Amino acid sequence: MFPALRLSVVLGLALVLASLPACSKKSEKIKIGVVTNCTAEFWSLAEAGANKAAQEADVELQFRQLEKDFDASAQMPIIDSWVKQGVGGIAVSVIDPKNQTEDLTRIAKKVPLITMDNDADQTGRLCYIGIDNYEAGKAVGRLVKKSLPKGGTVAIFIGSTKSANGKARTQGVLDELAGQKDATGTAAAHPTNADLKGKQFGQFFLVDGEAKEDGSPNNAQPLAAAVLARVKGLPDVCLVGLYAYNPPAILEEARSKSMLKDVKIIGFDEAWVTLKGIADGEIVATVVQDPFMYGYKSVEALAAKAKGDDSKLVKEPIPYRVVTKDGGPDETVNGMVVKFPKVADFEAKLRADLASVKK
Amino acid sequence: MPTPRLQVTTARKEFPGVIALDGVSLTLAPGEVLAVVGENGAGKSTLMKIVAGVYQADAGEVLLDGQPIHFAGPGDAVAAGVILIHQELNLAENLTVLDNLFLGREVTTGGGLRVLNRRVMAERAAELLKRVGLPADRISARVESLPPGEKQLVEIARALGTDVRVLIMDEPTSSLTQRETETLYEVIAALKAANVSVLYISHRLAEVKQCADRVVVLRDGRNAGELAKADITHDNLVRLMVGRDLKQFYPKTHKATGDGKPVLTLQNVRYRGGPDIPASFEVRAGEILGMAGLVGAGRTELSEAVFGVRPVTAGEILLNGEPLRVGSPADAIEAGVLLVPEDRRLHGLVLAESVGFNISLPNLAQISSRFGVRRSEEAELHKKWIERLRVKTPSAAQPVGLLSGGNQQKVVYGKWLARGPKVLILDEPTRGVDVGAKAEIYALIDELAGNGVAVWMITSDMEELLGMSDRVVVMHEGRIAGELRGGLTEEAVMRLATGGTAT
Amino acid sequence: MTRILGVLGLLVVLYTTLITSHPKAGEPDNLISVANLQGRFGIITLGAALVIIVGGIDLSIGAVVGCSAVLFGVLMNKGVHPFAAVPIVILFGATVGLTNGSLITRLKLQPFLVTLCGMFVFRGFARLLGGTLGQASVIEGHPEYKDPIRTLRHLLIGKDPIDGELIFPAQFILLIVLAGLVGFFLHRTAYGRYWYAIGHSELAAKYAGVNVSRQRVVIYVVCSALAALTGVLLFLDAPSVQSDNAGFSWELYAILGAVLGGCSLRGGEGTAVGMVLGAMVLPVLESLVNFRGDASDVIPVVIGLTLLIGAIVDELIRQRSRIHR
Repeated sequence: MFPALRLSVVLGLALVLASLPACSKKSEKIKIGVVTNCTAEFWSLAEAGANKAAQEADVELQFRQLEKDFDASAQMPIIDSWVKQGVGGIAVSVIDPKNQTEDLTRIAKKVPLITMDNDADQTGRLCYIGIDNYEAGKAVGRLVKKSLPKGGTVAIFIGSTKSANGKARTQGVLDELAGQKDATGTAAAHPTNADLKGKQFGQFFLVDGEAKEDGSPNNAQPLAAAVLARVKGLPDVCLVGLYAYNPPAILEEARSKSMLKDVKIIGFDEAWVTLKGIADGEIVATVVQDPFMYGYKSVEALAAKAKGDDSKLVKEPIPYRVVTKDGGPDETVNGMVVKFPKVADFEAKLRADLASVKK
Repeated sequence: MPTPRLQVTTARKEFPGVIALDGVSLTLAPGEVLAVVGENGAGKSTLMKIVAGVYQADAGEVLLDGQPIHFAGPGDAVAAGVILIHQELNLAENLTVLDNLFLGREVTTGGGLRVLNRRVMAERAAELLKRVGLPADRISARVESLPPGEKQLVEIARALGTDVRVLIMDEPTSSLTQRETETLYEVIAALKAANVSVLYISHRLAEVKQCADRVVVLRDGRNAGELAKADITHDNLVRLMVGRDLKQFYPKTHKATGDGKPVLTLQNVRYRGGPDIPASFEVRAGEILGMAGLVGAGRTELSEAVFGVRPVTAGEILLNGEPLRVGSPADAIEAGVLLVPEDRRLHGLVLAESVGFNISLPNLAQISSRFGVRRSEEAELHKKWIERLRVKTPSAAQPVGLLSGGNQQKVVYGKWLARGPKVLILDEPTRGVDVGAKAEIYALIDELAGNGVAVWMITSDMEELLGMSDRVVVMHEGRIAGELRGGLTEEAVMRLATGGTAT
Repeated sequence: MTRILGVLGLLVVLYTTLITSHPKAGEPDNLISVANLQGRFGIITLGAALVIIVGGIDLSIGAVVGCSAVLFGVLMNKGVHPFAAVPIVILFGATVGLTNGSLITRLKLQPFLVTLCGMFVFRGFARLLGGTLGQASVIEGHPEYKDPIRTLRHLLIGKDPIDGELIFPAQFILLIVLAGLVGFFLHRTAYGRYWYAIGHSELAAKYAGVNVSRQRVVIYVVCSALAALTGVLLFLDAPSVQSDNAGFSWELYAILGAVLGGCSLRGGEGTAVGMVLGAMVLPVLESLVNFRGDASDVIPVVIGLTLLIGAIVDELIRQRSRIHR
């Protein structure tokens, strides 16, 4: 009907698409794909590490932070398209190990595959890069015990109780509190406030008897607010946030309810707010994983593998670290050396790592 | 006496606060054309809607061929052969003429699947269009692309396609051209011959005289009287309707000398989507300029260009000799050029909102302080114009859509007059307005002209044109075909409107 | 006709850009996976478009997809044979539609409100039913369902029964079949006429003797049943479905597809071909950003801008054609 108009439309659109940033690079470099389980600050650190390794190994990196948080069905099309492009290796933070095993097994047969952060060990992946989440959970448990030597009331916040890392971390904390393996706790009402139901783990009363699951960073703050309101006025309260965004959410709500002095907060991962909270003495400590290293080691191992070198594959869990305000000497737990860096030093190192690579 | 086709006995219908019908009765013989006339709010529409199953009567009885009927909805009425052609068009404009002709009673095959049989429908549609005088190529046209008159004819054609026993037409000619109206009369005659009964509501007395066998007049929800064909005269009708004699229908007390200062001047104006021929004319202070032409001659479009709805692409519009730039209706309104549009329900009023809301709408700046609308001043404004224009409404809070056509039209005037117009463009000022309200509106227009307002009146109603205008400009196919002053006659106007030249 | 020109042009541009963006992007296996996603989104788009044609809106589609996917898994976990679970889930969807439709027509509630509430309710139902479910976890509990599930997956998704490789775009084929049915009813039967008429002018339809309420309810039933079917497909295609985010915000994709395909949100407009074309846009775009290797941060911007430009161009073409008519 209007051939000239339509033609110009088509050309115009093509131009727009072509001129958008990050145009397809026609390079001969080996390509490495890394896909995460959500979009978060944590993964930006990993991305920085991955970028650094990619520069050093001279490979092309595609780092995708998943837009739909913890959605396995959104992760697979990205991995599939990489397989089709013929990438040299893929690293993935597995969301649902059991149900993703079939697809990942198929992928692992075609492309070198490693898992990081969260494992799926039945897939034939080359290696797993990450901490031992159960052990890290136990470290959190020890911190709780140290903060509340006489026992007390504990609430645990986490993004997902179903993911492998979520399960392992939570169980690690509870086992440490109860002082036994596979602790399930005993149902009980709170010793001083009978309205509060939960479970008793050793000397510790767990609010609602389970970790409070928020499912998404957006829900973390309201959930923290609700629990804080319920424990207000109780002595010896410790709040534990096991996903990176949980400690900042707890801190913000405790501050807005003027409960900072009444509760101990113990965190996980190294959100900037968490680190600042530790420096200010508002958060006791945080157990950190080292996402920068996850990204770095993933790309390093895959790049080497693509060039026929298996030596960079990671055999051991990456050790977790415990960041506190004043730091402390190394400890050996279950044969693993655990560092206790000072928060100021840790933060400085982190900023240096980030600065060392252009994003 | 044979069984009447339709018999309504002492029908009563009450709405909250209003008794719309208070015991109205009428009978309609098979093959009879009965006109129902009455003033605003006389209950005509309510009566028609009861017969057509839109409303249920509170009391009284409706018999169809001697059988009492209780329609639960318009669907039942259609099934029984009682068809209402509404004053407001009831076509699905996004569908083609063919689809509309058979909407709700498609010819289908395939049992429950109801697959359309287009061939059979197209054949029947061609026949129906022929009967109402529409060209056959309209079958596949989308209804929205048709001019208003043709839409009306499509609705009539749709009714003809059913097993119609009683056809109710509410103001059927309001958007028809002269020729289309003639066709309608032929259709009515054919229906009569086929023993179909017709209930005909109209405000055009000439029409009533032409096609009705009998007239029933309603007033204030009651029967006011009946006239046999021989007795139908203008005076008789008006007397029954208003209950008194109307002295003068077209007042014309203002003195248009024809040498008033030009207020609005169009110089070689063209507008987007309009014809290639530019338009030039002027409207003077204190005069009523009538603009005639057939439906589709481009009169409404030209007025919309002046009002800022259609972008002006060439030429100049002058207001009191100064160039006037109208990029939007807001510019025109600011300058005092105000339009009473043809379709008040679409362009003139926010139907779901109250009378007061609509009057306030263009006047909010005047009655607002920086803290919002001053309530007392707003109430004052409402009161003033409702009284001044004699709008029949329970209160300013009444949704304007619930008023009768004439009262709605008055509200449109009210919202503009409060602004003090310089130029008032009236597009079909009395369409769908009954005789009593018409006289009031004419008196108002006359008064405005007397006060020096330049009135540009677009109308298809020949009586109105001849009765009210000081001067007439005729348009034909988008161009100004000629101007007539003094000794205005219908023949002269029609000659120009149909492409002839002035003599 | 002009209503689908814009989306057709957009698709041509997107496919051309995709195929030239990477040597592997135009290979059949990539086009098959794109087609499969198009099929899945297309099926909900059909439902959304029908609702839009009759002048309504359904915001509960995504939640119904998620709820149905979870329900499908839970039923099988509880020992319902997969072949029996599929019709049960679709029946569930139909019931949802019946509820939505009845509330809208009987109580005269706004479709926006009813289905927005439905969105929360059915997302909540999904959470109550269970957390994360996948084929592997179902098969673990019921090894005897392995073959039926694999057969369903083969037929409806097109994945190899042995290793799960995608071999043909079964979802797209399913979409074409369903679109054919929708097109038949919409363009060839009296019902289609009613839907268009209702969407444009409910009164006109009513005065023509159409049972407006019944037709509306039927459309909502169809829409929700299609959403439930899509839930089944999602379960069969995805490694696992999570009650929190399965099908999350898909109602917007469906509405987007419908509008791109020429449905007017004012009702009364739209064609079956347009619906399919409209639904095809987003998956191509997603594949394109995957192949171009765009950084995560720019992807939403690219997608949003492309759709916006497509919509603007489409509108320009339409305005042109109106002036020249």
